[in-house]
Amino acid sequence: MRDDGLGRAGWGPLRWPWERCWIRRAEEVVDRELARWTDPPGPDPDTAEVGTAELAPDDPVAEGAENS
Amino acid sequence: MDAALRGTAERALERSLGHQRWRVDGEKVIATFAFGGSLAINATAWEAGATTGLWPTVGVAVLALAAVATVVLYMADRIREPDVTATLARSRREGWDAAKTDLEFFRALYVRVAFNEHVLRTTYVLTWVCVSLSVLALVAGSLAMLTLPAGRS
Repeated sequence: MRDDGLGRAGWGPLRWPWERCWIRRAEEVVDRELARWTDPPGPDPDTAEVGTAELAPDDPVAEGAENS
Repeated sequence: MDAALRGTAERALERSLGHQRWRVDGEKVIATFAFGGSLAINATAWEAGATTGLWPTVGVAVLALAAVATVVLYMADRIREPDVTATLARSRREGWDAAKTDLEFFRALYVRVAFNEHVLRTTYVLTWVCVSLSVLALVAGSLAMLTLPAGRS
């Protein structure tokens, strides 16, 4: 049996062949989720657009509210 | 990841792990009781003299399938928990610092819970197979008793 590191990672002996596939899929899901929380935050275009819209001086709605 | 957030997630994962263990044990109990009940009915039918004919044969055949399904359910119980010794050994071998080791403990727990979801999907199907076969065997055993020729019971 080839050494894939699963034994050293604490999985012990695998009884069924599909367990390897399940472990790989579980690791992919968890690593994707952890990467989402550990990656440095980049620029968020949604937030930037909302911020710009809020600060726009020529907002007709805001101007209308001020005039009334 | 923030330490407080990780602590909250870790507690939730530990609860999930306990729930997963409890659920598979419950499924095994249900399957075993269903098999035991149908075994008792079929054994009674055979004891009463219903040894030939359609229903005793069907009952025994389906009961045999239920027995196999129950054994497969027990073997499919591959709920995993994090191996602390293996993680610590890996930490020493690969020279991780405390923060990295702590993160790997969390990751090991998270991966086990995600893996166990696959196990639970399998055991859920197997439990239904076991219970269905046991109910069929129970019905066949009951019909074997009800269709006994007069004077043989």
